[in-house]
Amino acid sequence: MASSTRESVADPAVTAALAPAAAAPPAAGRRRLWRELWRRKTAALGFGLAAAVLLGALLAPWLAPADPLAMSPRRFAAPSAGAWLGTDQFGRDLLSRLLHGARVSMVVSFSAVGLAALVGGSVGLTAGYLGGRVDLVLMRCVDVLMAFPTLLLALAVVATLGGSVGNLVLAITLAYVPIFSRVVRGSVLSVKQNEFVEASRALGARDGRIMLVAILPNVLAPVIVQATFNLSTAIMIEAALSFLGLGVQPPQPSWGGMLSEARNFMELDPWLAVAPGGAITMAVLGFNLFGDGLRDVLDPRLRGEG
Amino acid sequence: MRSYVAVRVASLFPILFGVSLLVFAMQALVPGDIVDIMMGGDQAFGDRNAEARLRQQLNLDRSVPERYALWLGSALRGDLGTSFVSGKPVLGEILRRLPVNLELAFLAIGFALCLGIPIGTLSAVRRDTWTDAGIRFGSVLGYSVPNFWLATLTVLAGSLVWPGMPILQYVPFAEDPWRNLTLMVIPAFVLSLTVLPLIVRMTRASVLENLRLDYVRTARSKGLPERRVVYRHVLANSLIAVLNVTGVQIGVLIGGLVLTEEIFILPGIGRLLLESIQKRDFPVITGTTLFLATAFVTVNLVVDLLHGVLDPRVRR
Repeated sequence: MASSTRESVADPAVTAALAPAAAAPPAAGRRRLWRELWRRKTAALGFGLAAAVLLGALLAPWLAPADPLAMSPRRFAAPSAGAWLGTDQFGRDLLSRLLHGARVSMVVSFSAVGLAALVGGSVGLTAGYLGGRVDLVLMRCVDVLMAFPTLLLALAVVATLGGSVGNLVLAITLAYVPIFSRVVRGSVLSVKQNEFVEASRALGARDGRIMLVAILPNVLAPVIVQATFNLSTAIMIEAALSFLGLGVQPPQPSWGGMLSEARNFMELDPWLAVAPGGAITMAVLGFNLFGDGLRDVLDPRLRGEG
Repeated sequence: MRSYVAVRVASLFPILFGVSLLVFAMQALVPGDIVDIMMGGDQAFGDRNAEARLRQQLNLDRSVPERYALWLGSALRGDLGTSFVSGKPVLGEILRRLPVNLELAFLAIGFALCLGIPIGTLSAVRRDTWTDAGIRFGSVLGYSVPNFWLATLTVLAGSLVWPGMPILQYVPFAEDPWRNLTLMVIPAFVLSLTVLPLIVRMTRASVLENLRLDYVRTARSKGLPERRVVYRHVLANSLIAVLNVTGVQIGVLIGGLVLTEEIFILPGIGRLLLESIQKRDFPVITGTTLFLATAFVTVNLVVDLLHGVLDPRVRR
């Protein structure tokens, strides 16, 4: 129904203006995007690192050579054929623990960033599109959440509700909702000035439809860029909270928790403290480099900035 | 200018009001009964009278809005409650530890600015050379390395390289200023690495942007040496953007302080917060959170105002 109305509009200016929403065939656009990203060496490196961590997390149960919780008498063992990275203070296989730690890290950061993008995006879309009093009230709430340094807000949530994977996700989500709200609201404010928005309103589209069909596709690029960067900081916050004993609880393996436990033995076996931090760095660096590349390609206005 | 200041300061109040609501909600949302937690959850041996007295003391017999009003009223008068554990006033505990945080924060920002601005400028002036590429990659790497890992490794390196090195100690400044500084320099330097990469990036971007502007061409065509163009004209104008990003980074620094204090065992507000979380000492948790959020908002306001002073365009 809607598409037939659109086709019936003869005015070329209106059809041209409508174009951005239904830009070039998505598949071709996506291929161009990947090509552009591949040309940037650091973005390709970032993609490689992030993909390696993601695959490790996804396939942990099959890749891990041993049960991450299984203790053995071979404590603080040096790397060997049986245990590539050696064993920890309980004789548990370090590589297996790192792989399962990646799983926790990815589950927490992807769910938190996804939820925050969904909630924050809806808030930003509504506030930016409707404007007026709705905008004022929503943005005041966002300002209040922004008044807490990210880690402090996450700490406060976990301190109140207790440390668990679910509460970790909730804490990180709450800390990121305001960021997504602001990013989306800002883009909506500029996108809604476009003629194609006016055009779809003239065609009789309702607010909900304009928001979802005309505006949303045009604000996705900055959201994707923001989400990539936030994945890297979410990995860091998860690790920090688990390090402080407020996130994932032992014996379940998590990078932050492993680093924290290693502190008691690190003079005996420094490697136990080095390895989990290396894993965190690898994951965070991957998403940061990939995000830098994505931003350059998707949002050329920001190129070279920051 | 005066009206700009007035508007900015006035905008602080709704935010602080919201912050207080949220922090109060934290207390109200605690799963389980706060009195049970305080009494150790030991119902069988719990003294009914003591329990009732405690409930009255904490205003738990009143409605939630009443409790909020009472809590906010005392908070405004500087009474953030008393610790369940130590029985001391929360604000006093916070203020006692504040010097540690201020010293760490100022040293860290100082290190970050003293290193970040020259490195960023160098990167911009040598644009698209290996130096620039190295600095840019280094700064991405820099903010991808978890600071609490670096801090842990620093402690480790200290104990391996120099056994018995007095790294995990704290001596108040008033007691022995020189010893205090030598002990604080390492944690502060490690902490400064949380904000250094962004200051480098911001300086680079801002210097590059300014180099493109007309006044630079004018300065060059006047025959000024390039050195003078960059340092006297461009850098001076670029620092405004650096100031802004530094303000935003205070939040990162506050989060970093919690971890730094935990790892280097420094008696600051961050450790107070962590200890109170472990002991479920709710007045201290809420008091510290409220204090840190208020400090963060206030510092940001000051940075905004400074920005207004330095750049008349933002005052409009």
